[in-house]
Amino acid sequence: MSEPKLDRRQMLKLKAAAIAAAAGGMAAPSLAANLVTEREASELEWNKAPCRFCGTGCSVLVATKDNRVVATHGDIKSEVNRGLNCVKGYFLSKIMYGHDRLTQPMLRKTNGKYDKDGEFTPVSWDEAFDIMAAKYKDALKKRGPSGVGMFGSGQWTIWEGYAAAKLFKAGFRSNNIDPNARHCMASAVAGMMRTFGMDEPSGCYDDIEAADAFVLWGSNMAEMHPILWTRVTDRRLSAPHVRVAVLSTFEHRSFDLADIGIVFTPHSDLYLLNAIANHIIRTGRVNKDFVAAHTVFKRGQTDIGYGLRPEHPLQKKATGAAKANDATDMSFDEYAKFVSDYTLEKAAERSNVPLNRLEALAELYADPKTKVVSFWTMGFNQHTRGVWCNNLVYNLHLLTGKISEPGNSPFSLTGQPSACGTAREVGTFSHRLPADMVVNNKQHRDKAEAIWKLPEGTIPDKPGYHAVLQSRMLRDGLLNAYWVQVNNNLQAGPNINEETYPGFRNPENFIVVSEAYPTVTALAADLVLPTAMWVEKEGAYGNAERRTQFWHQLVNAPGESRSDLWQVMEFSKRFKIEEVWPEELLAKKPEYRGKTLFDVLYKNGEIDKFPLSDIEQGYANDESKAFGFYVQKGLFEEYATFGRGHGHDLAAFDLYHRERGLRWPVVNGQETRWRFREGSDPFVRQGTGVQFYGNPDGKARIFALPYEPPAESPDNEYPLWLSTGRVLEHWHSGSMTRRVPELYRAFPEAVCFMHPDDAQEAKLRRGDEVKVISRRGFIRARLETRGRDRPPRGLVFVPWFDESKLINKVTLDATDPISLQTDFKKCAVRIEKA
Amino acid sequence: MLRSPAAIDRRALITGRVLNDKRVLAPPGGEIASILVQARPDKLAEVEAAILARRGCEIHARDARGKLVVVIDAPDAGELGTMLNEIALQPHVYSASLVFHAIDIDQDRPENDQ
Repeated sequence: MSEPKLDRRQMLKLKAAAIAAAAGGMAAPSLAANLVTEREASELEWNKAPCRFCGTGCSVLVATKDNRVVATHGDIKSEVNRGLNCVKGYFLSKIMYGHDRLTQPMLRKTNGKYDKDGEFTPVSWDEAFDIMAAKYKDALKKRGPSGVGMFGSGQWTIWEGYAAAKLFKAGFRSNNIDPNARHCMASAVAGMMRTFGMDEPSGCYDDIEAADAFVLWGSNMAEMHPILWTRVTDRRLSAPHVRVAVLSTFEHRSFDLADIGIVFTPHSDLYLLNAIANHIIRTGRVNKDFVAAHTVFKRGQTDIGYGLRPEHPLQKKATGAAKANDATDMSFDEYAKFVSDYTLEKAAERSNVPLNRLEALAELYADPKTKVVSFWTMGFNQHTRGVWCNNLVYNLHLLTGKISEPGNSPFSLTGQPSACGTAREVGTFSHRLPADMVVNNKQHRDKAEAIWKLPEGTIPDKPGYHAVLQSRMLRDGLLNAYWVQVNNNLQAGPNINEETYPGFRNPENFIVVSEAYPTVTALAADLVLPTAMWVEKEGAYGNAERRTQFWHQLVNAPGESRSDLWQVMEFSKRFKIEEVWPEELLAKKPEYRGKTLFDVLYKNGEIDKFPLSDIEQGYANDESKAFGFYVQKGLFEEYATFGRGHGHDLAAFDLYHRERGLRWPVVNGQETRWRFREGSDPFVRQGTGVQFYGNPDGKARIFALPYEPPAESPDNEYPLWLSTGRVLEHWHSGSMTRRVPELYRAFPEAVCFMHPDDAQEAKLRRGDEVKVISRRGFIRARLETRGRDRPPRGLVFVPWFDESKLINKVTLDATDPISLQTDFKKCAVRIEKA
Repeated sequence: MLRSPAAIDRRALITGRVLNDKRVLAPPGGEIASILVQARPDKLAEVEAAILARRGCEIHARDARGKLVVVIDAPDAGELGTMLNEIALQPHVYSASLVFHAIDIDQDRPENDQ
């Protein structure tokens, strides 16, 4: 029998207060402090796990009781969040318990048989995999490997992404696998590969406490990365000399802390970036020694198009589209001449920003005494010149030598918990292999085939269909068997009216969606597979600062739900190698004859070499129990062999279950906080000081890249810019957060934010129902002229979390031609009273 | 025959299916949370007063440099998230970070709830 209720509540409250005080570095009431040390005799089991939401990678302690998560608190031992959680942490104990949780496979049927127009009917896993395997085999027979594909996620655990990539690239021999991170950070990836020859940031979160200035380029950290924003706020408040500059195309919550707030005309950031570089050169503040020793200059290919369908007029006109990623050598003087056109005065005019603010911004970079951290997210990455923006901000840090040391850090923030750890590092993109390798490089394929024990020539040598192309190929009926895991692309992807939805409905295609909830994507599918979430399985994520974090399975998934990992591996048993590989390939490995893809890919002597007894005592592990070996450990260790020894080094599996994550490269048990700097990065050659060893010459690239216009701009017919984005209360498409009742009510539906003068001119009032119309489609939403997001005249902002207001019916599927990431921040619309 | 929650026609989907709040169930029992608030130091008293005016909010510690420890005792689940967001969006508040959150685990739950 427990204590009287009031007392117990009081105890909980004091404990809550004490933990918060400790997290804030404040004195706690003594009674409460005692309570914490006692950890009063509750019957709760506490375990660590990284948060399920954004890419910050906060560690939380999770309490379970009776096979259910009942409490969470920020992990005081975590270097990332130091005991704090953001509002999303609040959802963690609730996200798994929405009442419409999917618990059994469901197939569209009429009269007991599969029918694309039928109703969802519960089926067994066996029946689900039977039809799915039949459809995959049909597609392979009809079109070869290009007929099958998968759309995955930056929310996949590391081993889920690895197992899926292996199934497609090695098993089905199809590179048509891409993660939703393509919508999110592909531009950051391509930017880093172009500048440094190696992916992922040189710095880490420790830069925050060492910086004198923060510049946010298209990032609303206050709402999207609140814990990092707390650290920035702490730094700003405790060191009065610190300056914060916030740039966006509309005013948002992060502007509250801004010393320099800049609302600029969409797309004019290309001007601003070049003008700052010009300012650095003109005022003689180039760090000449650094530039001479560690950089080379490149003139990038121009007129590179917009990633639209080839028959689109804009695409036909683009002379550089076929070689978008090319560049030629140039000298510093040529570069200086190139940027000399971009004056701050001209930039002020083009961006509609007061000149004195641009000068103040430029000085943050130019002043050699100011340590500056640049942060960016979707404002840069979802941009038809997003890779260029990434390159151009690196230019500023390289020209001044402000990089790879505490406080000087160009840093790309991420939106998903394992966009780095899984999507990027594992190589789940359609062009990639693990450890930054790519499919169109013979040496890279050879290396992957050797580790995977595959015959030479197994992995196809051309990139597969990327996210937007997958939708187009579905629509065109060329991609016929399609599997979606851990994402909601029918809500999140662009131009769903013209591409994705018709693609899902194309009678040629069979669409499988693994989901925990009936999202719009799941509901548009032909087969839905119920899926385990977060601590219902053992997992690993990698955050934005290269930190790899593990967690144990803490509860069981409801009903017949199974993890994505189990689904991928179990499905592979349905394919005999002869059914998927041609005879000439099989002839090189005759010992594989008669085996299944499961045997060849997963029961390969590596992945199955760790026994169940290696699993830490006291933890469940449903997949390992099902397959008879420690699946996660085997997958991780095989995967880690790709990166060890050349700067992508991961520690041994077991270590991660003890640590609050480690930042790679991890060498001799030591993590790396600043890459490319002698003394902190073990891969830098002694005596070089700084070495950008991703490039063979050890030097970073400074790119000359001009302004080029966006794919679509406002005109007479569609006079307003549309930007889409997120809100504090809801994470991405809202499939989890919209099932937390009070948050549902706090921000129940998406609204259209508009400047009050624009509304008045259109004779519209706050609260009116309006239509947001583009050339592709429309939605209805209520008009909001006040509130936290304040667009300038000429721009409207609509969040995309709301499945009843699918703003992506309106957006354009123009992408950056290099990263192939969609620009969700710019298209032309008009607003009418509904 | 039980109609599954996912049985919904595609027209409703593409024209805008509504996930209404009847579809989201509050868990049983009350909830307790603590939040660390960062606010403008010179407006701390104002921020504190506004927080105390909210139902179930208590201030358990303060730091003049701009920090407050707020404990929320929400007897009916369903208010906490809203409250947290409202505090985060209050004037002069830079950030509100959740630290501890517990569902009142000892309250009896109906059998077979899922």
